[in-house]
Amino acid sequence: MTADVSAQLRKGVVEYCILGLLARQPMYGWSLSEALEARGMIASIGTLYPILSRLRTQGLVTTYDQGSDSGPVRKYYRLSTAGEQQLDLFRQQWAPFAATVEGFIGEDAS
Amino acid sequence: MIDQTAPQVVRNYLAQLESALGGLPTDVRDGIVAGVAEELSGLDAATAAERIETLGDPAFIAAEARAESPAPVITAPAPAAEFGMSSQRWYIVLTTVLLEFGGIVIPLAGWVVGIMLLWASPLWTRVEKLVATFAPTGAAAVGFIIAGLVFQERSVISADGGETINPIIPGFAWHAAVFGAIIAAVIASFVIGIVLSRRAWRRTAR
Repeated sequence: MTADVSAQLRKGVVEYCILGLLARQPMYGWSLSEALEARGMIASIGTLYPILSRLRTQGLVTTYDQGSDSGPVRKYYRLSTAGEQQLDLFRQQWAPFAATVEGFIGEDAS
Repeated sequence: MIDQTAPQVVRNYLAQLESALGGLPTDVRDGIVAGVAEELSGLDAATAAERIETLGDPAFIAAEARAESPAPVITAPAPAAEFGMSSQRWYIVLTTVLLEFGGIVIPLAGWVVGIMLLWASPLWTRVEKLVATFAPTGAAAVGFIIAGLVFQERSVISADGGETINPIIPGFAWHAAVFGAIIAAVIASFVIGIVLSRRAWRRTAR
């Protein structure tokens, strides 16, 4: 058994957490990083960008540049149609999967 | 590209980050540097230093990025012709003939030379090389045991010169076992030689 169980768990779901965040609104790298780091889903911005690159290669997210009056021009990430479909698929599978695991490890499980 | 008008602390940090990210895929490296540069853009030195503090050591960021990035794509092997001598057809023939008959002509040494030639060539896979190296020994062991048991000596010479059957501890037929081991190793080497020869021949024909 691996010593760092939480790292293994995060690795399996962090891509879908990013898709979930982007489903609410387009976000730029730094804001994504802050949101994920605050919840302990990634260790640093170094973890985020390889995942974003992968998601973009898979066509699940797209990017666009947007400036603002108060800040620099930023690269925003948003969910593509394929990304929405992928997220829906994951949502359908996640609840029964989590329930199944709970059935095995829950303290009430017999 | 690092903005040369940015505060020194920002320029230093971005330069360190770029350096630490060396070797990563370009889009990942550029994405990280651009993302950090965006966030530090327009900040005064003190505020930028605070942000940099939360970002952490560039070496740590780079290590995290490497851990998350896929391994470099392994390029397809170059055509056989580029491997030189060890991919020539005469080399294939020499190697496989030595594997098949080298151990008979020059006991053990001939086969060992064949194995050395095999490992020196890129025409065979690692698995094929391992099988060719160890299968004859395995076959010899099997042949040894089977022959020793099949031809076991059921009688022993008693003190008065007569032969008696020993049904409890039958004698292991050592001579037959050694002969069986040699035969099995020779057969295995012969089969392996043929298989390796055909495979290498196909690869050089591509």
